[in-house]
Amino acid sequence: MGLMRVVRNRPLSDGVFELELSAPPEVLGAAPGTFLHVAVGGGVFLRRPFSIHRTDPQDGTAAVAYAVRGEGTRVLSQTKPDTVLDVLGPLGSGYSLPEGARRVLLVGGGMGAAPLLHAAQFLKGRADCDAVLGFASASYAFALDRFEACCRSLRAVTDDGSLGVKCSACDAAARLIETERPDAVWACGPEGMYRAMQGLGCFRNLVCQVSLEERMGCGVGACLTCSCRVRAGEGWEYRRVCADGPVFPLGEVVFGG
Amino acid sequence: MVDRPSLAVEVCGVPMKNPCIAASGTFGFGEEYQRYFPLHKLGAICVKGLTLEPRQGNPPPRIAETPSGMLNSVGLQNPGVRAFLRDHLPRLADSGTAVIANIAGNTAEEYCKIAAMLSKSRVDMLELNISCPNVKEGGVAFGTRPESVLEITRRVKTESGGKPLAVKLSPNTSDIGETALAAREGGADAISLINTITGMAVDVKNMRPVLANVTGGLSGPAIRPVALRMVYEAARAVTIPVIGMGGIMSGEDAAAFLLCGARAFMVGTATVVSPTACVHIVAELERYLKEQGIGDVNALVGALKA
Repeated sequence: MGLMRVVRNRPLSDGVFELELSAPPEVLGAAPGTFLHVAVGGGVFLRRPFSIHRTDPQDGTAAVAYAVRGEGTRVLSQTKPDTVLDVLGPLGSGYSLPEGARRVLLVGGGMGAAPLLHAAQFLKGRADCDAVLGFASASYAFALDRFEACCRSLRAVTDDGSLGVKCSACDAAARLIETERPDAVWACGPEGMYRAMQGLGCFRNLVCQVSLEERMGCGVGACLTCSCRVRAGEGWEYRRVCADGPVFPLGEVVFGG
Repeated sequence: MVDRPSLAVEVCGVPMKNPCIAASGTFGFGEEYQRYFPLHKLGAICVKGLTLEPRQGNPPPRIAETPSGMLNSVGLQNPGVRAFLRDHLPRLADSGTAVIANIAGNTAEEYCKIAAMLSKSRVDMLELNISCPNVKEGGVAFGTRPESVLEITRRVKTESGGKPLAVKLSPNTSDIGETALAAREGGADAISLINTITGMAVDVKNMRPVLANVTGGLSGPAIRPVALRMVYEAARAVTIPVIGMGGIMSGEDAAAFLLCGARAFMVGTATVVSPTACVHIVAELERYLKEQGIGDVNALVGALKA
């Protein structure tokens, strides 16, 4: 927990920004998939959680990527360099590399690409990493050059065909699983993507971890507001996205209803 | 200037090293906050509302930001009183701070059973939650009518085996003084107020309520003026100790509640925003006392000038 200085805050693509912060060692060494809980200021009351997008230990900076969706992200998008923000983190439980895993496939949908770049950075020297990133349209794609620098291969696809093949990240990833046989999948995207993945056998048959999102309060596991449903016994139980996650095994998450 | 003002208070026989209590529902059972500060810095911890059986709570989204505040509809998710006694209380009771158990139920019998189980435990005080707006049965249903407040307080007091009983009052009532009197008549040793104010938020883009539960409890600075007024009125109506809460974010906010007659105060939503809020508020309150030349925090209680 502490005060972090804004180094840069710039647009990456249509409506997507990157906030670069001067970060302490615990953030620079954070596990992939963990997040920062940011008091954005400007009269916004609650903190906003953002997964770590990338770190640069040499520069001493860490960045989050965010889409402008509501008041919190709108205020954040107007934050100037040298502003000092009150930031909590790194928080949560992130992606974990299964023992002996040598090949990881990253699957991102839209803003879900954000934590996967940090994941790709983490995997360098630990495992081979391929990335499949899906976007609604080419104008929303971001950080592709950075992914290319960190991954063995990158496949970008779009819903409208304006970039790469016209298909979903889930379908593109399913095809890649057949040829590349990864040991694990680390995914981040919207609920629809996860539901589609749950429906395909190829994702069920390997270690597949997904990052969830929910409206959040304290970020440390106490207020019990950011709940998600996880299989337990014959049924399910609520777990805390902030503290038990945000990363959960795909097969354990119960969506909808 | 006063060198070191005394912050110690006593609430119905329970000594507290300062008047700052972590409010129920925002502090869990304390575990999550130990990495941020030692729990003995708090006057007391009021634990997450306990029910007889474990509760799953309401579906998400359970939280929404509002102007200067937030709405929540957690719905009393908790592991149940037995799990609390077995898994959480032993460590909490050794943490060097007073422990208040917030209890909730669907029926008077449930409240009584929980109180009886806690009466033999190491908790220092019970807080009767008859003001939760987020559950279908019980909760606030007991807390809005004076006659039902009196009845439930009387029954639970009988079961609490000498443990001090604070009754947490709902602001969703027409006359808070009358409700406070009813709690006292029922045998309450203290009252705490205010719980959240029922409210809602609408996502106009999707034309849906933000909360899956539709309505929730409003808290934070948005409700502070209402809370101050109700604490003021309740403290004038009864002589038993009043624990004030509602949007306290700073030491000066806390001082305002004490001036209005609160013997101690609870901090909830501020902790949701910042895990160390309570310790900052205590430090600010101490600074305020020094600046005001007041040597003992108890001198503030009810000292509001006409």
